[in-house]
Amino acid sequence: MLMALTTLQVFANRLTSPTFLFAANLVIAQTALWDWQSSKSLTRARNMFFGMRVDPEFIASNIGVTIHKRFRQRIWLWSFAVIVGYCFFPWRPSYTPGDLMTAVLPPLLASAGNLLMFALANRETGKLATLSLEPPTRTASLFVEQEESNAWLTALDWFAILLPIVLPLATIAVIALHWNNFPRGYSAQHELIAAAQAALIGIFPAGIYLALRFGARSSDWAPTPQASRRYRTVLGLMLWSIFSIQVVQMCSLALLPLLGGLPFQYLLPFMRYSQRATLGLLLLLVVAQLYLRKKLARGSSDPMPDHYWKLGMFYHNAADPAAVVPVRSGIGFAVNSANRSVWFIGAIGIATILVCLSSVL
Amino acid sequence: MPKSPQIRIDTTSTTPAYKQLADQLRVLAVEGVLKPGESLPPLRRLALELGVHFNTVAEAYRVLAQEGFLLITHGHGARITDRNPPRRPEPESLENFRQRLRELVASVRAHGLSTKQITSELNTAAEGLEKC
Repeated sequence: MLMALTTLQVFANRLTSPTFLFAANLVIAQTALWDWQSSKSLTRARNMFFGMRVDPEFIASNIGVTIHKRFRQRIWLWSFAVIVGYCFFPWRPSYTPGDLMTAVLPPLLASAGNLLMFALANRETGKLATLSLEPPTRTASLFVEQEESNAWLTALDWFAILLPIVLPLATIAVIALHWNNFPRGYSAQHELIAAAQAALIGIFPAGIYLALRFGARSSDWAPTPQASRRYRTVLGLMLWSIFSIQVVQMCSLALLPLLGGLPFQYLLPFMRYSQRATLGLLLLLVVAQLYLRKKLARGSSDPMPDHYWKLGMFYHNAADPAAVVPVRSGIGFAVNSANRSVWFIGAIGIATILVCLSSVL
Repeated sequence: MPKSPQIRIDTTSTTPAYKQLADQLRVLAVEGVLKPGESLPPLRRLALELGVHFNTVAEAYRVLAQEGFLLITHGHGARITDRNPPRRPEPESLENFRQRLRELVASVRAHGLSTKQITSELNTAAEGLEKC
């Protein structure tokens, strides 16, 4: 009896711990997003169903409805299993419930599972759907760069591309110049490493922005070059801001000791609110992307055949110079894995994740 | 900014993409839409917009350069030249043109266009030529 009560107490503590709640909320939020993105109103607008170009009547047919329903059931069941499994996960003595690693694992597992369910739905669609062919003609404006040129947007482009790289490099230069001026309790080497990590993280948003600006086909995103440029700029800025907030934060924290040093307890609220701001920005990003797509980019889609889309999610086309294309199901963009510049950005992205994880572990 | 000319590539056609591109650029040059001295877009940019390999666009530019419509210079890209047509056409040219025209008319008739529509389009094209 006492053991049962103790066990219940332990689980009650886990269920109410901030780490568990954070992780569970993330799992539910992303599954809800998958559910919503798969909704028929989104897919019908582009005749895309789980990454495949289908006959419009198929989406509303019994088979289409069944595939969609089955997908929704699977992703919610999987998310529920992940949350329950996380609850029963044997907490290692060295890890407390507040440990970041254990909070990141459930959303990652849920995401992987949702991708798998999407791939299954894609296979089912491929077998059962009446597929339609890609458009037989590809049309492009001859002087698209002139049509979409805009001085303000060009200035914004250079700002977005340079800031995440130049700011950390400038921070490194300042630290190097004031190497011996760091107050007691602060290590110049530690701050230099933090600035170097910021530089590494900064390559990612700059690279994504560069790809959206110069490596994307204008006609994929919007009916006119002007609308396409605006849409890609705003899309790039949204993603850029998520990472750039972190870069600015890291550089600021690295330089703060030189400004007389601040007791760490005063920095905690700053860090806490910046994390909340990042989460808020993520939500805003999802809502704003939908609005922008509806306003500027109705009917945007890549013109390529289905077989270049693996499992409906991953685009691989060696003959296509585009680095990024609109994602077929849902919102956002997909990278062309056959493009070498994408490999470089992807490698930086993986290095960024490893760097972040190494600083946590 | 006036709307720039549109380039269309038919992916189902048996005509290679570079030839379709070269044909369309040639039409624009002959009709005066592309003026002498005007620069064409960089081949990587045009390849990106059309979704073709950049060698496809490079081949189209090379074909037009050989015909004298383009001047390709390293570092300056491709520019439309003030091409002087040959003083006397080659004897086969008229026969080739006649044959191609007949094939084209037969093809569009097979796709359902009426004689009236074809005649109207040919008249429009002829009027455009006279203005050049």
